[in-house]
Amino acid sequence: MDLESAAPASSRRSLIGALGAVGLAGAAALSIARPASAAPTSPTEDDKELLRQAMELELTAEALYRAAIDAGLSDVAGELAAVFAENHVTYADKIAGGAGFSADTRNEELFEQLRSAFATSDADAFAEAAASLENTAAATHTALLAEYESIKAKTLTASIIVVEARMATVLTDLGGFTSNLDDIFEPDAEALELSGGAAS
Amino acid sequence: MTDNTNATTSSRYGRREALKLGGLTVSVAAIAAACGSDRTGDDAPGRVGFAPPIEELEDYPIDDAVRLRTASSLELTAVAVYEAVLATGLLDGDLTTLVERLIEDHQMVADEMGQLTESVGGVAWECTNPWYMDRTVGPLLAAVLDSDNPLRDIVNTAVVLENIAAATHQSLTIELEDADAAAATIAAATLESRHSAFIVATARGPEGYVSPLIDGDGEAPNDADGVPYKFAINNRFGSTGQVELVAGKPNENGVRQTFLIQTPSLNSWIYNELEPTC
Repeated sequence: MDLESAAPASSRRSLIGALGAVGLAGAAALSIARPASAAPTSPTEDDKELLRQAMELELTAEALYRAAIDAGLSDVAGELAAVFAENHVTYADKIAGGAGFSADTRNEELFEQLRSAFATSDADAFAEAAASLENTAAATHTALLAEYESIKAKTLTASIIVVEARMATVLTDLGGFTSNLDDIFEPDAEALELSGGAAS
Repeated sequence: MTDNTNATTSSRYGRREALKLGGLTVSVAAIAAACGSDRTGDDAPGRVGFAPPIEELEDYPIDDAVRLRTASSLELTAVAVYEAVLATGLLDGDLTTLVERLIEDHQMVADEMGQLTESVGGVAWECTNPWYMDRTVGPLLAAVLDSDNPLRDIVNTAVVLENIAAATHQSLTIELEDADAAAATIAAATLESRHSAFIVATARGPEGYVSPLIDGDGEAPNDADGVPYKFAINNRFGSTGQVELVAGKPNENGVRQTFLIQTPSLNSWIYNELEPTC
């Protein structure tokens, strides 16, 4: 791969741009915070509302990867889809477990918007769709992170964000759709506006 | 002869007995003195030999400024390592471009951490982290430069460096009380996670994407020289545990050095009381 550094801002295609109907918004202002020493350990009721949205996002991501596998994705791309699906369902379980509810619902609106992009056996098309999803998921969790009150919600979310960023990077490399280091390290992703208003 | 025998048996206290009795007397006297109510003087435990006296460690507070100063120090340590790597001349064009970008990013994060340090009332730290430099970076760079495969060791070092930097910021984002600082550190953790993943992807391609140990079982795969492979994704969740790095040439027993690198702790915080080292 030929690398380009310090290039102008990317104009690469992004699923985010096609998702206006779903209601993607700018990343939330990282405004609400309380001293870590005063923060509750376990998720508060407000946290739980936001965590439910996060859990549904994770189950949606898992379902999208399963759709890609069902569409015949194979080889390296198929293996990645299987691992990443497992990652996301694990995140959903962990989020739900910490908040005290079941991981049993996904964001249907988001799933329907993205399903056709994922239902492909073409590795490059899959990689681009999935990289965009991972970057969006990381941005969404980052916006939520600033809203959470409890240490547990923050700690879990931070540990998810960094791996979703890694997944996005791997998918970008797999797809080979950009050699611009700005696109790889600082992707133009925005947080989802979830129905709970968490990232708005 | 008879007289001599009588003389021996009639003496009830010989030299040995006298020494025992004397020792007992001294011991009793010492105990009596120690138990005396008017005892004065130093009551510290006694010391043997000429070891220097133990100095009490200062209990410096760890606040947001300390956390941010430490973050700056790690970023600048990364810059120093990458500059040393560039100076080896071992990197090809793509890797040189990548390392130059890594330097730029780490300097940018260091500057941001410095500004945040001042915004929370501290003094920005503009040096490397002396503890990491002395204990880890110095020996590690020496091992890498003397390695039988320096390019492999440079790549592995870069991956570990990015992993530790990301883990540090991941931890700090929970600990920091300042909202802007917390937001900046999770952004840095994300950026450095991307760095790490991309370095591995560039160096190893698809084989380096996901560790076969991601499910927690199996054996860590090694290269032909027995050095553990690095992966873009090692765990399902971001780890803040210590990172292991094997580097350098093997010794006469075929064993390479193993470096264990951890996120900052009491020894490596850049306390507010610490004077600049550069």
